[in-house]
Amino acid sequence: MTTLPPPDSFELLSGYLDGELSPAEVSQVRDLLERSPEHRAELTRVEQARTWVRELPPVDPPEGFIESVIATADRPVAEPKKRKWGMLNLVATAAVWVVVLGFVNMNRSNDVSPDAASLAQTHTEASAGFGGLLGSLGAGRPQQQAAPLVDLGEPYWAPVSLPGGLGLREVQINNDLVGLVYCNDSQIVMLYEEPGQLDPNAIAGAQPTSVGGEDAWLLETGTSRVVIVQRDDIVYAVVGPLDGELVAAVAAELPAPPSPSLGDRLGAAGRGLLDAFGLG
Amino acid sequence: MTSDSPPDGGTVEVPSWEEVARSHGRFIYTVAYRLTGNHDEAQDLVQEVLLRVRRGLASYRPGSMEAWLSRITTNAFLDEVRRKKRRPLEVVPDLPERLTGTDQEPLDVLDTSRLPEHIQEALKALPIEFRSAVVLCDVVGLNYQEIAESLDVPVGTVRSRIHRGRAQLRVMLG
Repeated sequence: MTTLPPPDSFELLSGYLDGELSPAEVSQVRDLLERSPEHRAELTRVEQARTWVRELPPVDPPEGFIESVIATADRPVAEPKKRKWGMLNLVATAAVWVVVLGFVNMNRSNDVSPDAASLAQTHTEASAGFGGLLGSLGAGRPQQQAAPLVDLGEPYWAPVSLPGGLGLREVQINNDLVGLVYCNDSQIVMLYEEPGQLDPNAIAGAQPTSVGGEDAWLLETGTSRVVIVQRDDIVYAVVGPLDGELVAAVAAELPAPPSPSLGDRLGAAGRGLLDAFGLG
Repeated sequence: MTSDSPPDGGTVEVPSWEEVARSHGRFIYTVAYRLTGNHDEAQDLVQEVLLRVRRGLASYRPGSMEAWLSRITTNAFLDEVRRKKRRPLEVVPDLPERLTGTDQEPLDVLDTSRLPEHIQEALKALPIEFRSAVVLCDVVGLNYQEIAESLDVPVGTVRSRIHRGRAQLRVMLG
C-alpha cells in the first residue's frame, strides 16, 4: 500500500525553488522528489511558470507621464481668497477646504491617513481669519436645547460641547468624512471623523504620543496642533491651537459613541440640531 | 536631497520625492502594470503611489527603497480593488487540477516559451491574492518574509499563494 503525500506538500515546492524552506523542509522535499513522480513533474511546471514571470521585461511608463505627475502634485490645490468673511461662512469654507486638502485620500480605502500638516494649516488660517470676533459674537455660548451628542447617522456622532467651553458651531459632511467646528470665546477647534483603520506610516511628519493613556499621533506647527487618535473603528483628528492643552484635553475626553438606545433617545434632539445647522 | 537622521545617529541622504519619482518611476510603473494588467489603471495606480510617497517619505528609513515602494504600490492596488469592488477578493479556489496527466515530458516543458503579453494576461486572470504574491516574489524579488509584511499575512500563506499562483499560471499558459 502506498502512502499518499500530504496535500500541502506540493506547496513546499515553490518555497524549495525560492530557497525559502527550513533545512527540515528541504529534506522533506528532497525525499518527496526522490520517490514521487507527481512532485517531480509539478516542480518542473512551477519552475517554468516562475521563469516566465521572472523574465518579463520592465515596462516603461508613457513618455512624460512621471513628469506630469510631479507637476500636478506640485501645483497648489487651492488658495484661500482674501475677502471679508462672515463667521459661519469662514468656518464652513475652512471645513470644506480641509475636506479637499487634508483628507483628499481618506475616502479611497479603509486605511485612513490624515494629512496632518494640511489640517494644521487650515486651522491656522481659519483662526487668523476670525481675529477677535469670536468673543463678540458669543461663539462659545452653549446651544439652546443642547443634547450631549448629536447622532449624525451611523457611525457618526457629534458632541455638542467639548472641554474648554467649546460649543459645536458647524457640521460638514462629505461622503465618509465628517468635519465638526467648535468655538469658545477665543479659540477654534476642528474635529474630524472618518471610519477605518489609522495608517500611522502615512501621517507625514507626525510623532507618536499618548493621549489619555492611548496611542495617538501628534503634529505641531507654529500656531496649531493636530492630535490623531483611533477609537473603535473610527479615526479622529482634533485640530486646535498650539498654546495650552486644549487639543490634548479634547482628544482625551472624546465621549464614547452612543449605544443604539442612547442614539435613539438622541435622535430627536439630533435632528433638531441638524435643522439648526441647515442639514436637516 | 534632504538629510534624515537614522536611529544610529549618522546622517543618511534621503532623496526628495521628485527624485524617487524620477529614479524609480519605471520600477513603480512595472509593478503597477503587472498588478493591474493594463496601462490606464497602471497610470492611476502610479499617481496614487507617488502621492503616498510624497506624504510618507518622511517616515522612510534608509533601506530597500524598492521594497518600500513595492509595498506602497501593492497596498494602493489592494485598496483600490477593495474600494471599487470591481472584483471581490476571491476565496482562494481549489486548483482546477493538480497538473497531472500531461503528455509533456519535463524537458519539453522547459523548452516552452511564452510571449510576455500572454504571460501578462495569465497574471491578470489570477485571483488577486495569488497575483499580488507572485508579482512581489517574481517581479519585485522580495523574499517571503517581506511579502508577508507587505500583504499582512503569515509566511505560510505567502508560500501557498505563490505556489498556487504559479501552478495556475502554468495551467493557463499550457
